[in-house]
Amino acid sequence: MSRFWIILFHTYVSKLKTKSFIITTLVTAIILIGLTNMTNIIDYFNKGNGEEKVAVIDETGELFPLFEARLKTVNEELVIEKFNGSEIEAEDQVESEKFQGLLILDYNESMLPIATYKSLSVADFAIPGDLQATLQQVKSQFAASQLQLTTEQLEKLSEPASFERIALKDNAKTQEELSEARGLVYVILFVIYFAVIMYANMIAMEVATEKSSRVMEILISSVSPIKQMYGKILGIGLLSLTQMAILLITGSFFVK
Amino acid sequence: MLKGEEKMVLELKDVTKRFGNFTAVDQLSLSIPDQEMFGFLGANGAGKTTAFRMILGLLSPSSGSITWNGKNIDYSTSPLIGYLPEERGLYPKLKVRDQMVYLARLRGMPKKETLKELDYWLSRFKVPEYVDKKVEELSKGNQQKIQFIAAIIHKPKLLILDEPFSGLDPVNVEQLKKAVIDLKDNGTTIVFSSHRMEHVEEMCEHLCILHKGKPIVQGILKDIKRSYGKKNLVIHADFDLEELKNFSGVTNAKTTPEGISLQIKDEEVSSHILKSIVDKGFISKFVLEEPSLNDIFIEKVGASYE
Repeated sequence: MSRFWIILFHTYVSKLKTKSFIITTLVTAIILIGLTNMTNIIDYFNKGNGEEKVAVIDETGELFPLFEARLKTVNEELVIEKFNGSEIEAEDQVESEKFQGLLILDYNESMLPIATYKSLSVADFAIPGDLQATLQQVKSQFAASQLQLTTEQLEKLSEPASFERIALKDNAKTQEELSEARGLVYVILFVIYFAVIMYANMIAMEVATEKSSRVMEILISSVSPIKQMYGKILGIGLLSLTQMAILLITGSFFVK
Repeated sequence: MLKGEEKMVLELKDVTKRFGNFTAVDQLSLSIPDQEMFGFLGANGAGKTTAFRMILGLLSPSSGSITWNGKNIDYSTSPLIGYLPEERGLYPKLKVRDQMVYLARLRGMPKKETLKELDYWLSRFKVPEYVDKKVEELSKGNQQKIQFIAAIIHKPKLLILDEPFSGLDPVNVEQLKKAVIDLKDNGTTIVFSSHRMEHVEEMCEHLCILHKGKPIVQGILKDIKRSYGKKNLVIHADFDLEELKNFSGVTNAKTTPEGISLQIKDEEVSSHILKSIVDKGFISKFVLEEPSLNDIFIEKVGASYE
């Protein structure tokens, strides 16, 4: 076998057996498996949280059923419960984490619904966001009835304008295809970026070890430097193909 | 391979190597016969390593030519050449076995044979357990043994050893020396450098003393000693020998605890000395010695320092 191939396979096999290569490949594969199964993982963790409950004190005595019905269309999983005690009692319950938060419904001067939301921190955006959206709908309904608008008129008013883009070229990509392509470009960009850094670094390290450990002097007296260089580059190239293949196979296996 | 009348001779003709204004090797002409052991001597920085690198083809001479068996040395001849560099080095993270197989394959030796040879050499150096160790785990002396094995495992015809014995304890030096002599007896041409005169004296028939890139003494060891002329006379006696320091024909003298060591011009002087002291008292030792290579080296090289 020519010395070029000896160097190539030596580089390939010795790098393949290093701990760092095995570990990076494994870690990347695990991350890949994680990413492809992201939805499953999120679902798994969400299940354990139980349902979120918000206590509602209805000062008006009539808003609660309407609000509850509207909330179903915004977020089905969020549960609200009418609280009959005083505000202070309700706050205590929130503090003991029996409820996620406390919503106080009321009318303002012009008889439109307003609300105050109290929770342990204001850092949570999901629940207040949903409640706010619901309240917005209820308010619109109230405002409409004050202005004596019918439901139809209200819908007309709030309906978003339809806007559609159509490509005239036959082979033009649809919106969906475009965003898919964009995602793919980002992924490939990252893969290329890391590959260039990692594998080039590997070659450089290999040369540096030979230089610093002075094996170079023996090597150079038996093989020409050009052969050594190309043997190394292609050996690492082969290694990179192996790593990519492993990652692609695991990826495609789990995507299915 | 050529045999019989056409011997493999390593020949250097007027080889000169300059680095800028500095001349590392100057007009070096050597002829190293087949199956001989050739010693390169020289003070530090005399140009030994540069000469070796030129022989190996790692450096090209500024002028002159180097041929082995009439051909230039290049990568096609590398399976026939073994090299133990002065700057020792192996892959620190690689096991001894993998290392040897790789280096030997680069010099054209198949894996199976390499493993057989490796077994032989490791057990010969009494370190068979190192085969599965990483080089960085070994001590410096043991690394050197492995390095030596790496240089000879592919059974080279020409072996170049740059300071093979530096950094080894006396037991290992003996082991290594024996190995080198065995290789020579098996038909390997060996060129080695050292600044330890006794090693060269013991092992080499041919030698060359380099000084500042120039060969100042060169030839067969016996001839060199004979042509040097001067002899050493060692006398141990019960009486005072100080007056002998001024005896005519004595070029140098050194008082030792038991007597005196004189350097004399030729053999005749010794008989005059003997006559003059024989009646003075008891003489326990009176020996006429060949000059050591050490003396020759110090005189030839040391003289130009002064």
